[in-house]
Amino acid sequence: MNEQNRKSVSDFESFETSSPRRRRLLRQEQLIVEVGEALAELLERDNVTRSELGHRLGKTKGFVSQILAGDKNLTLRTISDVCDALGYRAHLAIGRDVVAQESQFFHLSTPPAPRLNVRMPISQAPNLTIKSGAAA
Amino acid sequence: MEWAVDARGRMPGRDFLHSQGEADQAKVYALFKQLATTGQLRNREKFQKLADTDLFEFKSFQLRFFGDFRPGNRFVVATGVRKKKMKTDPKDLRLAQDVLQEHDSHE
Repeated sequence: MNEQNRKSVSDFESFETSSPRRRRLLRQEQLIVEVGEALAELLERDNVTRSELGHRLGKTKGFVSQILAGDKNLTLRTISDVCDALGYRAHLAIGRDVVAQESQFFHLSTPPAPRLNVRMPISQAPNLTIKSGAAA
Repeated sequence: MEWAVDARGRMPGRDFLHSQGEADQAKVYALFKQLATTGQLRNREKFQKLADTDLFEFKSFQLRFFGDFRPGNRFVVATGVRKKKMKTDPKDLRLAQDVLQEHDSHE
């Protein structure tokens, strides 16, 4: 990586730390991306099409696409409904934020501890738990 | 994640991102971070390989960023555009490919 490329590293960190507003915006978008990724993973894993999920929800394929695209401001109720339609239950995990210590951002590495876990089938799912603590 | 540097020493992708509002920048940075930290983006509404090219596309509403993987677990972002039509303009793809080629030639 040459010096100019290194700007990409400092760009992210600069944005993240430049103002509380920018950090908040970034955290909002990161959560939206994580939810979209989790739902996309479930669809892929269980081989469920968007049309099928839409049918299970009583909605259209377009509705599911909007959810995945982040076009819709997802409510917790919608997330719960989508997970239920897929046979999963969503859990919320809250971890201590780590700002400006993620210089590994521009390196591909082990994923951080998930903050939202929607992977557990209902049959194995415990009751809703809300945890706080330092993120890995 | 890296910004591609063209033959004139500019970083078109970076310049474009920084010309956008901070809300749009946050959306794009969140996608970049997800790819960087997990090595993949499963959500095809947000990231996909473009047919008939070597390019991958990040999608954030009207914003599109084009780039490709390189050896060493690197992803190089070449260009960004604000797309107003459903179909991607072939000129945008050619420009991204040119920038990547220029980037590779002076690495």
